[in-house]
Amino acid sequence: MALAIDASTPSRVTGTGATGLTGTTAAFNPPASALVACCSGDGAPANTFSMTNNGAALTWTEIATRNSGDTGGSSGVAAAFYALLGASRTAMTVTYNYSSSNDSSMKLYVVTGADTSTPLGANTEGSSSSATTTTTAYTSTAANSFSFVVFNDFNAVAYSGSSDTTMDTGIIAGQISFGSGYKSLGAAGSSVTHNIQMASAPILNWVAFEIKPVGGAAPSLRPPGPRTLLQAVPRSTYW
Amino acid sequence: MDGPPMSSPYVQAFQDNFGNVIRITVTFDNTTRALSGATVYRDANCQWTHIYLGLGADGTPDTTTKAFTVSAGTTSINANQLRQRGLNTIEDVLALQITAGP
Repeated sequence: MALAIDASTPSRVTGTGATGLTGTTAAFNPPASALVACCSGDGAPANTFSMTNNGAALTWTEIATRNSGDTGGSSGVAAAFYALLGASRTAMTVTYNYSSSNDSSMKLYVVTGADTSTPLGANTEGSSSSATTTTTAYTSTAANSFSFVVFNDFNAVAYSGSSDTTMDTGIIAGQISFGSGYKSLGAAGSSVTHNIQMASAPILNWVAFEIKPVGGAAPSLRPPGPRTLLQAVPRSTYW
Repeated sequence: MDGPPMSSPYVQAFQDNFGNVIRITVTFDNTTRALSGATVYRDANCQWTHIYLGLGADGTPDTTTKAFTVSAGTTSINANQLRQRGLNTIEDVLALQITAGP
């Protein structure tokens, strides 16, 4: 089953500094899937996000957080999380909790066809002040993965495009701009970057990461050894 | 960043899963902060037909009393219609989370 962004994926949710510390998606009806949360936040301190959901609590795993607490990190926060949803649900909502009362936003993706045990592959993070950013390359660990990217811009510069990523972006004028997106990958071992273009010089943090498909783990080869006739297998059979 | 107080207009746009857009543009007096109106826009095939400000009693945006049903194209909302939803100043709007949905 190939990876796909399910049509049940809810809209981005955004809060201004006056809103408080949380944001909740509109209700959605996801199938069994991996839920991928891409969070962006404003504020100079090293703020952080956490995730909750209605109904039976899912285990939300932090993929990475990039903020001013990291060496070379910029103000604001870019963070990503995933949770595995083993069965479909109705009227589900997902809430982000931000450690600051500054502006914040989250885009949640419902990803079908993801590896149901270890969906996360490689990941990387960084910061940039260039109008055109190419994220630091990582090497994909499985074939036909998706690569996601999430960013915040403390300078609140307008997003202007990407040459390789389907983005969902927003801006609170004078405060923050934010966005996230994804693209499909090819063979395992690919060098993966994302292109992020801003209208002028930003103060950018970003996190990029790989979500693997079912059966997408890199093949583990048995070491060569003696075989009996009973162990002989057709040449077309993989170990 | 902690910039100066927001100046009119306040715009939030949301993309659906097919690239279609729904958007709200709220205008206000930069001095008094009083809302003067809003316009909402929706691409004809956009999955989302509502813009939700804040949460309802059950903690979901879907039940908020400050929801706007958005027809395809551009629709104007006057200040009275905003006041009927308890939205008098831009700070009333900024105090609420915002999202879109079906």
